[in-house]
Amino acid sequence: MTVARKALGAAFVAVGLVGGAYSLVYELYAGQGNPDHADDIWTVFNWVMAVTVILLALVAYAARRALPADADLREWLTANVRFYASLALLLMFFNAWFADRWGTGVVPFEWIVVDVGFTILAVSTGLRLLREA
Amino acid sequence: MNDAMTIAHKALGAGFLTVGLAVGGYFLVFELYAGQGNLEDAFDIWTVLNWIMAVTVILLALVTYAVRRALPVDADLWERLTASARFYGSLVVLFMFFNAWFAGRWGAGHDFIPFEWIVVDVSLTILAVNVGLRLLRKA
Repeated sequence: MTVARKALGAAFVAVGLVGGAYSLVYELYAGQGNPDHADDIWTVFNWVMAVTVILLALVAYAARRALPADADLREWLTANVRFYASLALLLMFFNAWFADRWGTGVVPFEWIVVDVGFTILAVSTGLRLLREA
Repeated sequence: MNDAMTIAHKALGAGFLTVGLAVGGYFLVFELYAGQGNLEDAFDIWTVLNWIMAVTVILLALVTYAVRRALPVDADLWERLTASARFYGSLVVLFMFFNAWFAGRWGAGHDFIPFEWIVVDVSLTILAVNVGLRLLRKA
């Protein structure tokens, strides 16, 4: 369990940092005349994000379920905020991805919210798993 | 709780749960369906679903208000927080839903409607499922 937690935690931190960094670097890279190549990287990374948002929701759900009956308010709050944020992120990510890749086109601001939310949630959940391992 | 109240709680809980799952499911499926050249049909389903959502957001606000009012004086902080979060969350969803619906269907529209719908669909899904499950558990 400890090894699994460490591996999952490290993976969340790594994927979160890569996603956050690339959302910052993307515009600089695309603006240098590489828009297609810059988008290709998102095309690949979106598959990684798809798996990650599902895992984040499952981990957050498990953490919420595992709260002891006498957990203090702070523990309750953080577990619930992480769980509902991961659900919202999951719905928004898949809506944006489906719209962008197979649908009628994504609402521009949606990817920004997804990328920022993804980075924060993945890194924070990853660090928590590493600390608790 | 008497039998009639229990049945009402169960029916309302099951109703919220169904609407929440339907909105969340169609929110994800919509783009795949519309992207296959069915844009008008895909929007027609939202047109019908929006009337159900309108009733649901009003009921959610009323139910969460009633729950918040019924809290005992000695309710702990966690109970107060969740009841208040559900109530104010449902008020925000109610205002945003009607703004987006009126603006898109009968109004002049505005630039933020597409993103407003995303926020409404995601929030309504989570809130309706959460309140529905709570009503079913307490019935």
